[in-house]
Amino acid sequence: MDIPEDDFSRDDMLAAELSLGLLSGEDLVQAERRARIDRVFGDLVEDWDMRFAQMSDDIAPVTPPKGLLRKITNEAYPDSPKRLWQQLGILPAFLGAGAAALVLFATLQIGILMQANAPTFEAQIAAEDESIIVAAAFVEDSGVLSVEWRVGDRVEGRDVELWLIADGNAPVSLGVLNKGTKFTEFAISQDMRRLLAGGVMAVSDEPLGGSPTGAPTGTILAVGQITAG
Amino acid sequence: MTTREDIEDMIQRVALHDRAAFEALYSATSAKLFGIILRVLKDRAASEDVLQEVYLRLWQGGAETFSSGKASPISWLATIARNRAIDRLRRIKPSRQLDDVPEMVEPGPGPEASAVASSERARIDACLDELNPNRAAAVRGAYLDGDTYADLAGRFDVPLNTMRTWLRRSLMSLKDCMTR
Repeated sequence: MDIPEDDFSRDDMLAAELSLGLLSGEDLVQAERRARIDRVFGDLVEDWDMRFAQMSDDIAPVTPPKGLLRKITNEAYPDSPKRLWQQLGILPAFLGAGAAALVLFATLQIGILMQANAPTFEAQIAAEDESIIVAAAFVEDSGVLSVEWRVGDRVEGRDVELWLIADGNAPVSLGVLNKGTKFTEFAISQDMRRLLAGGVMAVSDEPLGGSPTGAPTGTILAVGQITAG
Repeated sequence: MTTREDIEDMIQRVALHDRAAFEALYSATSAKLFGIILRVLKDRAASEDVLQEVYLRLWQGGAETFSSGKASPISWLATIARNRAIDRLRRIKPSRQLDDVPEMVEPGPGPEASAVASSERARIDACLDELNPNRAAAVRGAYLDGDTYADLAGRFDVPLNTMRTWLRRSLMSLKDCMTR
């Protein structure tokens, strides 16, 4: 059978490949991004998800260990500091094998980090198309701002710098985000703490080591309002 | 017996943060999802982790993305479980030789599986049987073992583009057969 080369068939095949998890590298990143923002394409992926799901019909159920539901509800229910972090991830459940689980995994990790203290302020710093999402939370007791690079590709040979913009003032650098890990912590001075309420955080693309001028020099990648935790 | 409508209803109530519905959904579906995750990962501890992720995610907003009437709720849940398991598999795969892991024995479906059986059941099997056996194996391998084009090209010893052309044709035939 020949493959018709019209746009619909091409999209439908791409949707099948994404759903089945055949793609890797840049193809995968592009297709996942498209499934998030293109409703029609997302529906094609979902149709394929339903077709392929039949392959799991014959897999025998296995009862999970007894305590697992308890562990899940302990994470899910209490009005713990973690809840705030968990609400930040806004990815559809319907994605091909890919980014969504990584985000959740990161959430659980930072959830553990955050367990002891509720954040005083937090911000979700997101690009308009959500291709980049960075979460930040400040805990008053420790004076530490925890920042998590949640979604988006880092650019080789460039750094990402975090900025605090208070009430119409010029952006103040909070520092450069770590590259090897998704998490970065910044100690926030007393003076800076006063600027957090009602302020805005942003991340910008900068040369290695951060902006040489003290003000953002590259593209502003994402912006987010700081809210009380 | 838990019907498709029951499960749909539970998912919708989980979206409203109904704790009783969340626990009922877990008790009706966790064994099925754990079976799927275990089949993909073949590792109990990792599978428990992934199962936990799946339900937490449902509670934290995932359930809101379910559109009733369109998707079978159990297929929808199965897809999430399978995708999260494949994600985990890809993170651990480099340190692991899948070929060395013996195939798990798959006994017949238990009462829970039949309770949530899809009406489409076995349709895909019949359609996969119409394909060249190698290509059917490739589709199954991609679904349950997380094989990418690159993996499959290596396994069947053909260039990547050939594998892509093969599989695209197979997927087209599969869709034709399933919508027949």
